[in-house]
Amino acid sequence: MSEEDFRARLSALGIQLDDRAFAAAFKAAQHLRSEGARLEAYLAQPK
Amino acid sequence: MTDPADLSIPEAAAALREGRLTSRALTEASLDRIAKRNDALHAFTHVNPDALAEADRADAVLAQGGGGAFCGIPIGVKDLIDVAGQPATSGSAVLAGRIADCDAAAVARLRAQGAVFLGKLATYEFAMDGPDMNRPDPPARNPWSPSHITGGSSSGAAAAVAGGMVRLALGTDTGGSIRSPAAYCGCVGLKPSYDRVSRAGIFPLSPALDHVGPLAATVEEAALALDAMTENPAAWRPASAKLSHGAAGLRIGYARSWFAGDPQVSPALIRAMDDAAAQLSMLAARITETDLPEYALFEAAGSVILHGEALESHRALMRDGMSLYGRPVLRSLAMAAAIDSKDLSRARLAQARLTEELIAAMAPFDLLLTATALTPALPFSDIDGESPLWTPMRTIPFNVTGQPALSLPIGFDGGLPLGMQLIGRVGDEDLVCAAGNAFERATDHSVQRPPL
Repeated sequence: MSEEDFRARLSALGIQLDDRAFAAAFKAAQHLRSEGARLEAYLAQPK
Repeated sequence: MTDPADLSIPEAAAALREGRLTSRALTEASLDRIAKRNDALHAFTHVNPDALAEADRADAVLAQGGGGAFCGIPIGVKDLIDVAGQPATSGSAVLAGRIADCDAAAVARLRAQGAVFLGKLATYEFAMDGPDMNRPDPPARNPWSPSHITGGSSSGAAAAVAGGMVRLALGTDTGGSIRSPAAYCGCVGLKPSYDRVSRAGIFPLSPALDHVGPLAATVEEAALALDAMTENPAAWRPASAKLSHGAAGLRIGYARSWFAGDPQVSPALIRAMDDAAAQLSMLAARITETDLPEYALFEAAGSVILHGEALESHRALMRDGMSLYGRPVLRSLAMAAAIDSKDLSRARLAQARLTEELIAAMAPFDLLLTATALTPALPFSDIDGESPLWTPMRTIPFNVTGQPALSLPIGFDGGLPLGMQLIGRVGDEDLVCAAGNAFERATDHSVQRPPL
């Protein structure tokens, strides 16, 4: 997810953040994406 | 003579029934503590002006030999949980001025037993993120050290119990919000099995993970409170049923590897956990170290579900009240924009699979034992107002699996409390509380009081 993608998603939700808040939210959002990827890899493993 | 505010709930209930104490005197004792300590601790955000009138009504019922187990007992309630006629803002300017029309289901059950509702307790805004230093209501402070956080989001509940204002408070727990403040403040927190206590009348954070439960001074009081709050008592064994049974013979899997190798863990926490395991062993529990499924997977599933569902819970409010949200909550909601419905579906699949795996890993045991948080409470000076507050905990797996989990004190690190968790299978609150009560009575951790 690029910074531009994230800005577009926030805009669709009507969320406006100043630069500092955006930087913190983007960093946290990338972490959440990585958690999603971790789960995808887990589910791809056989039981 | 013991200050009535220091009587345990069973002691106070007996004194009330025998006419040695009135609910008015007991409620006045709690109100006196609040008057003396709340300016420093900021636990209560609202004190009920009708509390003494409620106490008088309880006294009238008691005088006629009536009333339930909590008749005349003063209780505090987290401001995420509705209490009829009292403010219900979820700690947010978005809901400023909102007064609850009716009681949340858990509150109604306690009211039916005659409980006295003293007021509303501080919460992190909408139970999200961490303390926000920029809100009009200052965050609750740790009774053991006011320069440290309480943990949250049931921040006021833990401060009120540990600060001696009440013996019992109601909280909510979506990723550890009952258990982590209980551990940081040195009191007991009991997250029940999923759906054991109704979530009706509670502002939702993540309906798949939300739980309502007690924070209390002792395991016995938490167990009695849970029994009073249980939505369909006939469907569950009472949490208090085996309090006198002790821990003997219970098979306890000690999930030491879930915390001991973590680079963030406090060495004092490892020592206190090992001492607690040894103490349970001396109480004739059978302790065996065990490896559980990878902790990080539970945190991943819990985080994705929590943030995805939180955004859904807030969509309507955000349309009109966006400018009123605090920065930490807005940042947390913004994070959720990074995930979509496919991520949420995957996380729910992972939740089901992880639950199966954890229950399978628990097969040789009656209970699990692990840490609540890996460190003592952080100082407020660590909060920069921009970065998400990160406190390493081991609580969210049991929101994911829906199992009951009890946090109770096990000692101190630098003057700040530490806590452990005992975890059972769904419905096994009686075993969890039996082991917790035995441990508590064999040690002096839970009788320690902060120097207020």
